[in-house]
Amino acid sequence: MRRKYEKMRLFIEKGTKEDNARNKYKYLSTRFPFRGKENIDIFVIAMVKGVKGKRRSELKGREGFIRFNSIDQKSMNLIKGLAVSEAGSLTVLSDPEKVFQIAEEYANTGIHLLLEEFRGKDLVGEMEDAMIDTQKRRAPLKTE
Amino acid sequence: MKKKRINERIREKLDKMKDLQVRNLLYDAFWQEYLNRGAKTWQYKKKYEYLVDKHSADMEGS
Amino acid sequence: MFIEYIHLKNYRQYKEAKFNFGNKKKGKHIVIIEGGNGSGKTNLMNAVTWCIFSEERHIKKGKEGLPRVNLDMLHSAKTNSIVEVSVELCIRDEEKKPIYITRTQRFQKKSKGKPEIIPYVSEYGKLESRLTVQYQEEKDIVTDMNPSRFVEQLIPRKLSDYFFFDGEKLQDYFETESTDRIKEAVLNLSQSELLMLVVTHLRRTKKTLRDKHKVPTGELRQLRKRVENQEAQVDETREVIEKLRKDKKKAEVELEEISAKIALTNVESVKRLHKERQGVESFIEQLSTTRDDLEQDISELVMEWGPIAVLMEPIETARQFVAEAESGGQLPPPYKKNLLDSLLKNEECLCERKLKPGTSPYNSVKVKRDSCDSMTDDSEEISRLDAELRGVSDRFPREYKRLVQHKRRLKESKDSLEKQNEKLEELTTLLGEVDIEKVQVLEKARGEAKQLVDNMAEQIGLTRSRLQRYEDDLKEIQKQFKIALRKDEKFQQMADQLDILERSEKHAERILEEILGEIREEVCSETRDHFLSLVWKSSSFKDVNLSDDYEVSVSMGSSIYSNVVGSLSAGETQVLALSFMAALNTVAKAGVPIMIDTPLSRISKEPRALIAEKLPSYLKGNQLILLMTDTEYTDNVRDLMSKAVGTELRIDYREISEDESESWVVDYA
Repeated sequence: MRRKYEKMRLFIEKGTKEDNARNKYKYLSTRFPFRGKENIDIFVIAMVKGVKGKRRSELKGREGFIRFNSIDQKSMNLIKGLAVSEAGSLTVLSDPEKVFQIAEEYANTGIHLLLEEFRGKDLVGEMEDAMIDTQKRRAPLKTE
Repeated sequence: MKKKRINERIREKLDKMKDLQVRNLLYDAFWQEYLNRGAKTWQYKKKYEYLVDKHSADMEGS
Repeated sequence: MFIEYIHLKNYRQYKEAKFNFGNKKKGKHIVIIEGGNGSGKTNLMNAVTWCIFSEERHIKKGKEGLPRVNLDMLHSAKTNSIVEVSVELCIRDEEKKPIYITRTQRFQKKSKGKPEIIPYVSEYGKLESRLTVQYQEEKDIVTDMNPSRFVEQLIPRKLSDYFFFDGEKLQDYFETESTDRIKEAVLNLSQSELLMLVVTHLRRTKKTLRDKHKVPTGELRQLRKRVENQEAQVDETREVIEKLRKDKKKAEVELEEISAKIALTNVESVKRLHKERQGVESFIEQLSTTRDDLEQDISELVMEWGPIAVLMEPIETARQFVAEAESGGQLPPPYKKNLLDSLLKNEECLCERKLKPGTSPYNSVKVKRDSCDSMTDDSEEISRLDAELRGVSDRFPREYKRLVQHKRRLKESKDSLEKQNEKLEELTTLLGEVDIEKVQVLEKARGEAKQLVDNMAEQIGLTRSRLQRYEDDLKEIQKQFKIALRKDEKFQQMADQLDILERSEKHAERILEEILGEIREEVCSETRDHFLSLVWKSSSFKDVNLSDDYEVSVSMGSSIYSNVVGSLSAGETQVLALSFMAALNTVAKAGVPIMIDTPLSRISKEPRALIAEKLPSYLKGNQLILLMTDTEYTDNVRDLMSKAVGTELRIDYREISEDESESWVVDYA
């Protein structure tokens, strides 16, 4: 099963020399709260942003960005879980390319959303609100 | 090289380094600084260039 | 390293005096030199520092005008004859080999007035005094060609404050302006300043190397220019920060001075209000740190679990599918697809019955195989995924709870902070309203000084984050430059060399940062341990702390955190300074001999005994030379210290006139 993924990588949109996703990731990696974090961490946040915005967009021209070895287990679980939910069935797991594609397309939308007026503190606030909302939904009485 | 004169703490950190090229260069460079402590001026540029030559020649392609 | 003897000739009140400490015996690292007030203890220390550093740091007030040469010898000399002052130190190094350091100075007696210093002529020009260093090499005694360099390597000048010091000046240790000196001392003790030089020189060599080669026009040249410019920007910004730091320090010193003046006003209400205000300010500092830490913790927690929160629905959906598959009997699968594949391929069933293609048994296996979906092969992966997603989902409420707790504590800190800030304003207003002109003037000055300090702090913060961005950009441009270099064969070697320089620089910087951090930590905890074990009111002092800037603070164990260093008693400050000294020495692992003039002078009887008892275990690796008066070196103190004392000497003296006296050494007994 692992062997399926071994040679794979997560792709991002190639874009132009001036305007491309790679630069956006680079920019974010120097700012709070991404300082010291890996590309996969930023990717997951971008993916989540896309999921929140309920939009995924196909990659026009792609370049390899994150190798399989650089993806930690936690992130992988989230990517797989999202793929299953999105595809509507567990069978998608036998198609790693599809699994990654789903993640990539959400991240593709997400990275642009992230950079619309990016302010680290606002992003942290957004994540905090997400936690509160989720807890409310799951246990409406237990939320303080 | 009188390694013993180098402060223990610094020696420990240098010994732990995995990048051998850099480790050897830093040992040499540090020792030069020690010897020349108190010197009014010393030709550090020449010395350092020599060290860089010496240590980039060792372990070519490592 | 230890001093074996100090030999003075014609030095101030010493005509001829040899302080012989003998060989250092194990466990007996303390030398006691007892002498009454005015006997010449301090001048002994001056002699040592003069010999090594050509500086006498502790000339008593009123005696600055007296020449270094012994006046009695001078008087009995013929006019125009020369009297030579000499101080010789015999030091034994780590291998017990002797090093002889001698400084001499010649004085010519004039018919009238002060004697004239006759300089020595050397290849370096005229020298006011001459330093000679000799040491043993195999069987010979060798004279060093560069004595001042030798001595500087042995005992760096910058450290002189920390190895030869005046017990009465210990309070100066902890004033704001001392922190830079303390920091320097630590850097020197640990040879970190050498490491800093390595970093600086590596950088400069890198620049030289880059500029040396003629690069072709076009991309390479452009890139090189960009690297240069970016480096210049980084350097410039670093300098700006350094200057801001120094200015801030100056402003802080001024603020302290004004505060001290306010504290000394003769108005009770002012004193009280001011003290309260200082307490509030310390508390605010502590609360701000707590608040910042909490904000940091919250953002880390939220950046990890926020994404999970957003993806919780897909996670639950995915788990739902698994649950359905389980209840539908598809998970775990009744048989695996690849097992059926291999049965068909080998044409043999599990029961070893032959499966001939086209036959009914073959076909029934094939039908089962064709109806398999991928889930059969992936069933383990699916189970594992499900287990991990469950773990995450189960853990979420706990993390949420942690978030809530952090937020509550954050709110508490912020509320507290607000209250304290209000209180601060109140107190400041009250103080400003005191109807005494002097106080009003001071208060106004204080307000301005504080504002200045706060502004500088903010500026430093902003400049620091700017620096970080510039450094990140620099790394990027350096990378691009090297990539471009490697495209051309001609520059392969240069690229390699730049590479090794950059790696070395990075590692050296890292090591330096680690060492400085570790040392600061250790100095802090050693100081704390020593201080709290020594100080007699140990119940009220709870903690000793050392800031990044090497500012020492002591706190009392109450809810109001306040740095009481400024209000410690003389004795307590002495103990703190001794603890700090001991910590510096232990941590720096340097074995330089230490000389202290009247270490116990400010300390009253009771705590004195305690210190005498504990002092020997301090600084065990160093020779400790203590110059004490008989009031300090009581019989009791003597008993308590006897285990560690290897040599006892006494300075006897007689007064010749108002300005003149004569001192000499005798055995203690």
